[in-house]
Amino acid sequence: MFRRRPAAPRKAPAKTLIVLGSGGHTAEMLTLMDSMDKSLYSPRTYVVAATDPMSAPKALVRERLWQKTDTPVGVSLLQIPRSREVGQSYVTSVATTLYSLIFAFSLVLVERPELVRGMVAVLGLTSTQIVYVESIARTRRFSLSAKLLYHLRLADLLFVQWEQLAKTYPRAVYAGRLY
Amino acid sequence: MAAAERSVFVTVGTTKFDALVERVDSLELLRILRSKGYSKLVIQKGNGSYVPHVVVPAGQAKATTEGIDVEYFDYSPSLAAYISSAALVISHAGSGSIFESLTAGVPLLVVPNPLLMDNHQQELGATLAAGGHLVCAAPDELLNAVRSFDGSRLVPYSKGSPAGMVAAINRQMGFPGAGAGRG
Repeated sequence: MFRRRPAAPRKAPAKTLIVLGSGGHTAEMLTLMDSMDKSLYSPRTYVVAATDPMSAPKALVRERLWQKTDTPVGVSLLQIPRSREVGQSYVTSVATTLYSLIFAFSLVLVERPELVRGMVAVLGLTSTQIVYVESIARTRRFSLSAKLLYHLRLADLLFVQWEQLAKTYPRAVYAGRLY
Repeated sequence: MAAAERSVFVTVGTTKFDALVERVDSLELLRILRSKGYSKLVIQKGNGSYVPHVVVPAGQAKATTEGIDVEYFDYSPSLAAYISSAALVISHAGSGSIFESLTAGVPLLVVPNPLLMDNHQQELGATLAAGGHLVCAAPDELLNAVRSFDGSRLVPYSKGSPAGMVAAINRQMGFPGAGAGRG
């Protein structure tokens, strides 16, 4: 549960879990995936909230585009409870976010991916590398998920998309904005 | 579309934002738009319960009022087309609509939804407004913000790139020589 050093050079593709956080967050994650070498990050499992009917179809549309076929291969889907609904109070948000964390943690244990990235916190005890991309909407303050991951030191790479935010959180990485 | 048409597009994306729709359902707004040379107002009103009935007659989705062609609809999968053809976008402060407008180079006025938890719409709107890329206003300030809006004073936004993140992830995973993916 600590930040791992970069992995040793490898050639075999890495099984990847991609957590889609709904709405604008899903769009950001798929924009990042547009630019990744899909042959290196394969097979891919998309994790979506049970309360979010929009994200899985969007991911499928992209996979069809990337793989240039109507029936993409090496792609699967998993559902988790949503950590927080828009408008939910902060106190109950902490509870449901923790619940989602535990659920997502169990996914890592079951799925054993080599890379997890997304907008929702996922814990890993295995050799899984964890990448978290803080939303572009977070310019000055962390989201609850980012706070948990940062202070518990659970992400191997925690990207922020605004330089000023990396100054507040020195272990976060600013490597440009997706848009 | 006629070449001379100057369209204002109001959008709330997939959200509900009655406070914004209610503020743009205003004859005063139409007069301001006309005085600033706009000829058309298109409102994408989203999931909210407020239905425009001032800028169009109740029950009608289209009309010409105060010399402005007005229409509204709930949602369209092609909001990008409305955004890129607009002379001014008035939007909720969701990141999708904001960066769609900024990267299309369309002048943008955003209204963060004050009802959202720890209001990160406000955060994004304020940061981009501080950089001069857009104007950010509360619902109650909207009419004044439109009145004083001057798109020529906005600072163009330089589009970002995922390349830095991709390279850092590749390094972390042990693919140091890997390039970006195929489109």
